[in-house]
Amino acid sequence: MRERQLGMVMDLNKCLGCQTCTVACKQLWTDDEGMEYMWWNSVSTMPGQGTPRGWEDMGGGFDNNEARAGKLPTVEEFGEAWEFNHEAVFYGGEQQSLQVKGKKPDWGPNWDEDQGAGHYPNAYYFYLPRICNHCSKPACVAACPRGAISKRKEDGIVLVDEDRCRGYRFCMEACPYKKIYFNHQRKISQKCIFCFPRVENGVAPACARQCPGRVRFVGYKDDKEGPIYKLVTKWKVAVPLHPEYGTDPNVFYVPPTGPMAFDAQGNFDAATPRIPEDYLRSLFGQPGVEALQILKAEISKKRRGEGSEVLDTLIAYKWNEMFGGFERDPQALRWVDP
Amino acid sequence: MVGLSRRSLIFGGLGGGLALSLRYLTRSSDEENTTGAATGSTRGTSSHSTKSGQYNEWQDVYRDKWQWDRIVRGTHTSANCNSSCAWNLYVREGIVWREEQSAAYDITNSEVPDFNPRGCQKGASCSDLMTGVTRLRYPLRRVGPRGGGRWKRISWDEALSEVAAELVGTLHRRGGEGALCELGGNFDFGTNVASTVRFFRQLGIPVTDPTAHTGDLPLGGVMTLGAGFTGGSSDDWFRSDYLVIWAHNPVVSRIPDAHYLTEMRYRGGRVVTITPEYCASAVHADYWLSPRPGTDAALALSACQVIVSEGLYDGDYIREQTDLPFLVRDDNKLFLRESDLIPDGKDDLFALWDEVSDALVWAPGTPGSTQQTIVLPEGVRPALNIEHSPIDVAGETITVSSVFSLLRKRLYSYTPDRVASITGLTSSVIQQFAREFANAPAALILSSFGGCKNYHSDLMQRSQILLASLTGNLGRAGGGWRSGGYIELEGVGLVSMLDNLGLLGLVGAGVRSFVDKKALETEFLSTYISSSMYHTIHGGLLDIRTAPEHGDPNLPRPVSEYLNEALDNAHFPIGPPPGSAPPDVIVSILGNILRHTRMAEQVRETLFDKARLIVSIELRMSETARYSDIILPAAGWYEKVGLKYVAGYVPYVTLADQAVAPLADTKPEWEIYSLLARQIEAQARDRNIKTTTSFLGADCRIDNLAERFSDGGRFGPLDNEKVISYILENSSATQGITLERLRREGGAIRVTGLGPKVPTNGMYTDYDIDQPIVPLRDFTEHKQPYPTLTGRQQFYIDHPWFIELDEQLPGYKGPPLSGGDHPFTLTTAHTRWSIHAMWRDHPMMLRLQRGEPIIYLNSAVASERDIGEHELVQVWNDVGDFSARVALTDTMRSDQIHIFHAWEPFQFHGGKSHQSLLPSTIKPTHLASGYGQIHWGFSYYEPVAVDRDTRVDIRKMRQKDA
Repeated sequence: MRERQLGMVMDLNKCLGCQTCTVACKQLWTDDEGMEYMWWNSVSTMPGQGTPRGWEDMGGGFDNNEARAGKLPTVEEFGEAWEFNHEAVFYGGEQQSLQVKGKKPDWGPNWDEDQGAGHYPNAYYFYLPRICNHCSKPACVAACPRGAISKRKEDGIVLVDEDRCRGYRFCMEACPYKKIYFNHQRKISQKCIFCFPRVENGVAPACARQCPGRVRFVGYKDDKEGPIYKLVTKWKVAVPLHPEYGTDPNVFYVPPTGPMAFDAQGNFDAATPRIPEDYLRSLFGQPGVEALQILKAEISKKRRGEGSEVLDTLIAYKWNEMFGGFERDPQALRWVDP
Repeated sequence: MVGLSRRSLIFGGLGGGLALSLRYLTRSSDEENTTGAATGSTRGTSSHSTKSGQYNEWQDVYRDKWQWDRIVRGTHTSANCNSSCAWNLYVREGIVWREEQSAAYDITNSEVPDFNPRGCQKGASCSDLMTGVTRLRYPLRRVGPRGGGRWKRISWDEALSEVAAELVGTLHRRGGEGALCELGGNFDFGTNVASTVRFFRQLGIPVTDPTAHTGDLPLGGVMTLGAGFTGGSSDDWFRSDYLVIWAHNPVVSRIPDAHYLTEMRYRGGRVVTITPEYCASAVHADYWLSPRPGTDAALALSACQVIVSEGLYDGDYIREQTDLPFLVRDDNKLFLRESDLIPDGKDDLFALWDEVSDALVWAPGTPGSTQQTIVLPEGVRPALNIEHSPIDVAGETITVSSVFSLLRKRLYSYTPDRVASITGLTSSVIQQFAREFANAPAALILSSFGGCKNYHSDLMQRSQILLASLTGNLGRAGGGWRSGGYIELEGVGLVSMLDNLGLLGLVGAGVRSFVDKKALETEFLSTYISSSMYHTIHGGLLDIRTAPEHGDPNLPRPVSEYLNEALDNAHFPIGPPPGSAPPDVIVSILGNILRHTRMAEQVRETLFDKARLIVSIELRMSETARYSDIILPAAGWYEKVGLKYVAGYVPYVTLADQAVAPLADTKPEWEIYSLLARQIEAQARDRNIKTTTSFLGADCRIDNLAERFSDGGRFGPLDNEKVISYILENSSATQGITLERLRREGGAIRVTGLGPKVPTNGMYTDYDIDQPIVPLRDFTEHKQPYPTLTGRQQFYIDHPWFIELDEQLPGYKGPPLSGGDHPFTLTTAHTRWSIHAMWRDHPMMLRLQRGEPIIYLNSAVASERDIGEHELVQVWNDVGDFSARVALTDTMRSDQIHIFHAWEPFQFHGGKSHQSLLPSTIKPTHLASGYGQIHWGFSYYEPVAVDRDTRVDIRKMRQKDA
């Protein structure tokens, strides 16, 4: 069997922070018991602490090719699926405000939405959508003593075998992106499955196909006609998040530009980027800074009236071409009882 | 139900997963044609194929999850989002289990990205909302005090006969003015709004026109263009070179359309976002300008000043398209009219000075002109710079000046240096903005409802339009000034307004006669009243909305004088005269008056507390439903056939098909009103009541109401779908578009026309099926007169009140200290997390926020005041207060406190929302009438609710309160 790797590119200059991806995934996959708090797809305001809270400081990844145990994130750090007192407010006959039942939360999966960093008028933020990176060198696979996590040869999707998993959670400690959740009902680890049942039928993952911002490109990395190859390999405008974690992710990001900053007098300051270069470097390494330079140069070309294959790809005149051939409309499928 | 998710009910046992009978997959035969080039290649497939038969491996559990029995077209009809989106509803075992966009939109042309996939997180979770904890399921009768939260489930018969008894008694006793239909903004273009208006109109009960009351009328647009909602399609944004998002946040409030903004930047265009706070739309801009709240007009005028002084304006354009060359008398500041010069001359014929012949000529295309075109006569070139030029009028010599020269003089007050001190922006930033705007091939100002909510919004919008006009952008592809825009389906009006629907017979002819402007106005006047003014006069808001301390401190006369004059001359319909008894019956539908009214507690005490019966026809337990006596639960959007309203952003008509039966004991509105009409008819006959009196004094037969409502039995209680077909058949924008086609073709089909060109919502333009919609081309290309007094984009308004207020020209006036002299301006905005109150208390959405209302506060300010992250604080001013938690951020100015809209009062600690401190003061210009384009009309012109100038302070909650 030919080994292939699926990839996804997320364009942060197009991400609206609307969380349609988050909800599309929730509705499709994580609505069962034990999964209420899971958001296999999440979108965080950056800079920010995200979900689980402070995940970038929780460790994991590799030590000399051995999976390194980082912190095991708690449900509170991810953000619980709060229950509310609607029944009491609507039908309980008491005057009380609508609130979270029980302990009052101090974190949630999108708690620090739109808060950002920097100082007025040069505050800044952007949205960072995240799924499992389906890494080429997955720390979760290396960490699992049961051999319950595997990477499919045909498309590179990393899956937790729910029959084999015994809930040891070494994978959660090892994943440096902290994108694995624990199902406390079923005592197994669960995470993004790259919508493999859809992909197997030529349909793009729900988070990509349902994204109204048209942020996400999908396809095989080796498909030279496809958007992943063009954006990642050919044009190098899309780069992995935290490459220093050493897991070789297969989700790539087009780094964000920000509006022009102001100098101390309140005049435009073209020389200092609003989103500090060091911050971008901390997320995407030097390739991220270079990707942004390439992108800006292409935009300048467009403004001069020249063509740009990379920008035309990112514009996505035809929405379906974002999906690298995984463009089948699910309504064309028919299920037949055996 | 508690503790079990919906899914666990549906797929109970699937967690174990072993007992399933898996179905296998085939691809339909027509699919080869639809998936194009990739089909058959290996690019878009995985060699891992679906297995059939029994459970083989754990993955099959997931494969089985992504299965369905059938797909039904759906949308969210009366959610009142300006985005219509076509969805596929995935139905399994009789339940809508999830939804995914149907991606029904064809590519418009190869120059612009397509509309797909549209949608947002609210739409993507609607199946959860429709079956969730906030959904109403049974008819309910209040037990105990109003708002006390105790209910008894009753039958539909009980509920309807109680409501009918109270209505019949009230109508008999007091006529239509004894009752009130509180119509909210949650319109559809289907039977929901049509049945509501039809029912109350047939009973002679006034229906409130909600637009101004929610704060959404762009009066500056009406004053200047004679039409408020002239926005085009969102794919035209992509063609702009310089797109200014002004007092608007489309990345949050126009999620399905926002990709055109990010994509136009990749095309080489630039985006400028002008909002006080660094909002989500600022994130995606090239420049973000943060003027002091309420100073936007000064910024726009300063840009105009730069453009005029540097000669960057389009002289030919403004000579033809605007009133800038018109002559104004220096003595009385009125336009020079034919009636000034000739006995029996017309007062709607206006003068220009032709610089070629050096003589006075009459402007073509004004109402008094014989020429119905604004094309200037051959060889005529109107002078722009006429200053104090002498002219003989009735034997004496007066002087006249052109509007342009008056404007130029006025703009001297708005040099970048002076405006820098008003806005806090530097003069260099202002100059750069002005020059880049002027030099862009196509520059566009995206305004929206946010720009309608300042006290001086009219001045702000007039100034913005001036900027777009001086540079020749209105009517240009990718250019202009855009606010809203709708494609009306006349069929909705026909069902609403005509008793005898069968009479129409001929589709085209019926539509044409109905959209006759005068006839339309008569029909509307006998149905609608101004919600804004009804609640001011009858709802207890008069004192607060006219209190001098909350409004412009420099008014020449108190606003109450203007108001009295407006009332004496019936400038707008308010139903019963001032001082009348409050209504005995209030029916709330398609809205949530006790949530969205500024100072809603006052309305509750004045109107609701005195009513004998309050009825809510509702999907969900809103604040207003909580305060009702009887709740009639409506079927959800996936449970009946409906049509979404057609916003101009995406020119498609969108179907909400029925996927499942109405939930529990709910009914579609058409059925509810049909059954209620039967009850009323029967009870009227029992009581021997034949007619009652409409709120305007006309006779209303109620002993045959069911006959009238059903149009002689033509549309029975279960004929909802038939009515929808009638609407499609009888609307000019949907000719040839049938339910059957909508079902087949993805649930959304591009309209066949743009509907009637009427001031309420006409875009006044050509329609090409393969082009983005550019509004106002009727005027800029076809040279038709604008629907204004001068037949032009009108920047000079010589209405006496405007002159008295020194607002005959656009200008900047500082925001009033509404709510008192406090250090912060409360800025408000639409949230991404709800469509008004819909979804606002939906658990899934709340889990992605903080579960309760928050305000955003500048970090440095918070630290000065010792206020910490997520602390509970009280926000207060002279008229009220509310409590919320704090999110600290440097994205906010130090002089603002920001709250996103639409939290229900019951979500706040203490039960009071931010509406309770918004005086929403009336501005005199909003009360004007009797002048060209300035007069009442449905969703057109009346005082707008305002809140963006409200001043507040903040304090820590005492420990015991928190």
